[in-house]
Amino acid sequence: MTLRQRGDARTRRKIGIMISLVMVIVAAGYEITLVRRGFSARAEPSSLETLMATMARKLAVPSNYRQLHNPFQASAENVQAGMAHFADHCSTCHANDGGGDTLFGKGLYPKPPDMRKAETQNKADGELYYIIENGIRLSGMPAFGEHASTTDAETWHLVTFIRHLPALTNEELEKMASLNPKTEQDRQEEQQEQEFLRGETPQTPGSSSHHH
Amino acid sequence: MKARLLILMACISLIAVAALAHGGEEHVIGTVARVSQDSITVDTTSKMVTVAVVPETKFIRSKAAAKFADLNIGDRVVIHAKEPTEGKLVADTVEFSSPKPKR
Repeated sequence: MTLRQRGDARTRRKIGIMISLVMVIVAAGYEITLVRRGFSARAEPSSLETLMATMARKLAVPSNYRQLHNPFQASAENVQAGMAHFADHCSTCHANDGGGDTLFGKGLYPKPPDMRKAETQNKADGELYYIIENGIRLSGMPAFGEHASTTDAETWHLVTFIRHLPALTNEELEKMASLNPKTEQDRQEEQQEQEFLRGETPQTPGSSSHHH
Repeated sequence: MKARLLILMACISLIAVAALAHGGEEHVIGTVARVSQDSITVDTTSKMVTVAVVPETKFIRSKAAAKFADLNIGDRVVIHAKEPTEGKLVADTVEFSSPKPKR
């Protein structure tokens, strides 16, 4: 090894040490911030976290999925099928309108995105399909697919419905409300409220708190 | 060690679920006692509850869309409201019916 080569190796090592040092300082700073802020799920992810998570999610979708196109047309029938499935499985966190303003949605970290916005709508059909089937690690989004597939009709109907979210009508929202999962207690309360509105019960059950 | 870690994680999950169950939507049920430009006061028999009305609030009468102006004092009302800040209710949906006229 010549003197020049030895000098180059030393410079490279110095640069390596400097980069490692900077990374350690940044990581330590981030940890201190986390410890100070706590680990509450109420917080909004920092822009750094959002950037890293978005990049990781993008990389995590295999390229063959990104190229997939929805094989189902956006017919009224397919939108309805997706709507019923969404109201039953997804609305608890994503809300019927896809805005994510629900008890569970607001309590998650990270919060579910507003699916009517470009962040979701600009994703390829195959990306949406992959996310529904495989979920997103370290988030509240579970994997709904039981095995790797690209042909699950129910999932493709959901993709069709997600595309329809920005144009959702009030009538469709009303219909979805009737399709949302309900507990026996929810059903009883709903019945009591309707009986009260019809004037069948004279007294009010009062003001109460419920979880939806 | 592994078992302890699993127990700890299970406990954390349970705490998270319990905390979530404490939030939710308020259902205010009673008769309309007062109506202002941006709020409705409901007599729930146990107390008076005032709920703010915002442009996004949906009004429903007989399962059909209605308007804030259609609501009258004395109407039976079921309000589903959110509580964005403690002590302040904001109406999400207001379902109401007018009392049947006596013959």
